[in-house]
Amino acid sequence: MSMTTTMTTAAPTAHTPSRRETTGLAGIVSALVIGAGLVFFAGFAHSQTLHDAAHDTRHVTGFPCH
Amino acid sequence: MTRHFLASALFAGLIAGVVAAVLQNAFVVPVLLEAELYEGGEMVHFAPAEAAGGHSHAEGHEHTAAGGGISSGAGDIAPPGAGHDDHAASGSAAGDHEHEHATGGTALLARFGLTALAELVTFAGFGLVMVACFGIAERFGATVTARSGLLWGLAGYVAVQLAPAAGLPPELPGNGAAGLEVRQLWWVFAALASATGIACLAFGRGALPAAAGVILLALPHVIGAPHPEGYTGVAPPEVAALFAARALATGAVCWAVLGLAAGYFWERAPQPVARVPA
Repeated sequence: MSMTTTMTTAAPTAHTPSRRETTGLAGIVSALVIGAGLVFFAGFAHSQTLHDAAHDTRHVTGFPCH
Repeated sequence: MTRHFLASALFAGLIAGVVAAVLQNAFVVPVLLEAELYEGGEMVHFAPAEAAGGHSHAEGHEHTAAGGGISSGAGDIAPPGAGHDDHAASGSAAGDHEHEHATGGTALLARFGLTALAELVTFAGFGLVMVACFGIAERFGATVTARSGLLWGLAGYVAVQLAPAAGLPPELPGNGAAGLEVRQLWWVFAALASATGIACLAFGRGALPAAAGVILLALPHVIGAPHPEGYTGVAPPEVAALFAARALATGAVCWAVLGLAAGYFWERAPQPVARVPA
């Protein structure tokens, strides 16, 4: 599965390792939080409006509904 | 960098969302709409017990008389692209309920549109979570590419759709179910435990992570999903079976596309994490 990565396209010189760590973690946490939030609104929120709009998607995707 | 990270995840999610919107509106939502006819009473699968009397088999399939064009259920909606318009068209000569559908074209279009929108939001969310997991995996030395992204997608499908469906099958409208909150709680638990279990099996080394992976995958099902006291579904089991099978089949395709796209963008994006020697 290992493949050559696109290191040549990266421009790493401006960052220190600690800076990279922080940036990466911020990205990971942001993606997790925003992603989970979107899934929550589409699949789980009890708001009647959201439920009605996403009703068919909830059923089809296998989220518990009603 | 974070912006790029989020944008590629969102883009992958939107691609999978478009695929989901097309496939599910074409193949799964029509089955759901048919089930709603039974839920609303426009169509009846079995005659009431008191009316059935001694010849229940003869009257058992009342919907064949009442249902007009939709009577054959699964068969009618099987052709790709048949969609709901065929229902309306084929049924309009036969029964009252089809008439309602035939005149409700705009509402139906809006419903398909909202479903498509919700699919986009859902898969954008799943895409973001998947890419966050890419980031975590790379911190532990894994390399994510388009090819391995495909495996990630299929693993995500198992964790988020297939494994929870083994306890709580895709629900047809009108079928009985336990309380919503307890089902949602079990679903979240099943998805998280399955995802963690798969990660243990995929990335762990040695017997202990493997054992933990198997236990985590089995645990939600050993505990058991919440189910209703009795069966109250009104739609024919054939419709429910077709709905569940198509929901799972289209879900597999969508997740494969999501993983492939997310891996593709990830591989090509300038990543700050684990790609640059310290």
